[in-house]
Amino acid sequence: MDWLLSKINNYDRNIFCVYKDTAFSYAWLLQRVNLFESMINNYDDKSVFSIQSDYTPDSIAMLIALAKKRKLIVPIISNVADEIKEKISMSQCEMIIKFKNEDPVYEPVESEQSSNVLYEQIQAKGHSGLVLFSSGSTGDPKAIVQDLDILTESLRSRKPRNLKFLVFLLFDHIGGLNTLFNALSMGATVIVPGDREPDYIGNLIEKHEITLLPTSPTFLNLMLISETYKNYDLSSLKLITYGTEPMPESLLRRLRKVFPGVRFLQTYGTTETGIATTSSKSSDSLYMKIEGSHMQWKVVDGELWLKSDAQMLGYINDNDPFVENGWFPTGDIVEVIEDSYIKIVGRENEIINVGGQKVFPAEVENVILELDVVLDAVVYGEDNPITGQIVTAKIVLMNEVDKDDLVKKIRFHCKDRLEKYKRPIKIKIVDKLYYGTRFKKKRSYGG
Amino acid sequence: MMKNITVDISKIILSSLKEIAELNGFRIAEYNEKTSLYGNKGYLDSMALVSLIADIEGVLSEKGYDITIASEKAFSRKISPFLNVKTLKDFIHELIDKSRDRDG
Repeated sequence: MDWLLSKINNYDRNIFCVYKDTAFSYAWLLQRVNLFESMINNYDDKSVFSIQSDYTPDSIAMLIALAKKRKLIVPIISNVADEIKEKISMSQCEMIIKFKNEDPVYEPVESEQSSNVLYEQIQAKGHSGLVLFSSGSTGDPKAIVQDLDILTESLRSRKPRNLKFLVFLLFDHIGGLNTLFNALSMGATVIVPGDREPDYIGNLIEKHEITLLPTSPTFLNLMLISETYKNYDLSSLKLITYGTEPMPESLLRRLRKVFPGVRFLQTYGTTETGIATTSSKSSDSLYMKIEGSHMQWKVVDGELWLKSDAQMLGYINDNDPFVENGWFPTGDIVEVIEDSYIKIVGRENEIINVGGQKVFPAEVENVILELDVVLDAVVYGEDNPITGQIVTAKIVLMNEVDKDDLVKKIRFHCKDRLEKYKRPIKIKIVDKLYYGTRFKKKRSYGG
Repeated sequence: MMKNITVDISKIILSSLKEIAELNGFRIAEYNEKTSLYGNKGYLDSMALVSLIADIEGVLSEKGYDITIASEKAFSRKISPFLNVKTLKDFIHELIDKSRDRDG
């Protein structure tokens, strides 16, 4: 990561970060990194450090300082005690770093020293490491060990660019960290949001003339529903990137109408393989290409498989998922068209099985969302003794409409657009859907 | 012994049936207790039956009767509860009675 430090050194007076209306320069960042490095020197016997913080100028400086010192870094943003405890123990963390009034506080973790072969592989190369946790909807989280030097290697050749990034995805997320390192490698500015509500974000975009918004389809839909774009001048936006879940076609169409001058780009990646370099066929298209020599892909039985230079070293608490010489089955079902463009259709584990026929929630959601009165929809499978599972939809409607009539209207609309087994058997009208802190749809009974 | 149930189950079945017939384009000659549902030249296919059951369960639940109509027990009967409107009505009455006994 020495290349990143020399870039930071060169970017000198550029603004690296805006946090709570205060701007911080790259020179400030470098100074801070050096200060933190001298502090970490006191803990040479420790190698696994957790940063418990969301993005702040200091947490970013600490991340870079730890990387410079070839440490293993465990970013944790949770405030839930049990979750923190589990992650600390799973990652065999030796030191917790928190921030109190901008000053780092170091808390050693009392535990028996034990070796970890994944960490040893990273240390043997003289690299720094990253431990991230999968936010899988089922089962316990998996602790994923990544080589941070290799993960960021493809950013080394980035040219300086005068861009302003909103860091929307979180500090402990591969996509969020990718945005951060991407911005730093270009000498760009990262704007740190205080919260992630549409109104707040709209205000932030206007105030700081943000050019790049990396986010999720769920959040973009919330922005449309709340009509944030009417209250703020969002004309500084040049590029909106979306990922972490499939984008409904109807949502992309609505977004294009509201943001006609903005380029839309689909991003794709997994914590296990790092982020791919993608290009969307056009701003209107859900088809994308995975490009670049650092990631290969193929489709096996409809599922996307990846093989990446930035492959994780493994899970700490689970078996190796790689098959056939290092291919990673992503669990994402895709459709391939000419010129190697692919479209994500849905997650393998979210497929609803109706009497042996497969239904992708996103396809049904997309059809329901075609109706103007529908603000949002989530589709999932419910157990059923006749067909194994049935399709159930939870729908948020515009306020003023008659609910009974609407259910009927939705049923008839689905009848015209979907095969029988794909149509929702149960339609539940709800006041709102739950997205969680990561602004992804939760497709479950409770969702 | 049949206890006092304050909703007209037949009416609920027939009203759900009408909606499903309309949605699926089924032409049902007469709506009464003899109307065939599933099997033995019934009007419904399996997806329509699943819909009908879900709809009826939904309406009953709104009225305070939380029962599950489709179950292993329902399928293992000598005479299918899903044969016609009357068999289904009787079966639902039975389920409601049982759920009340259980609830005390």
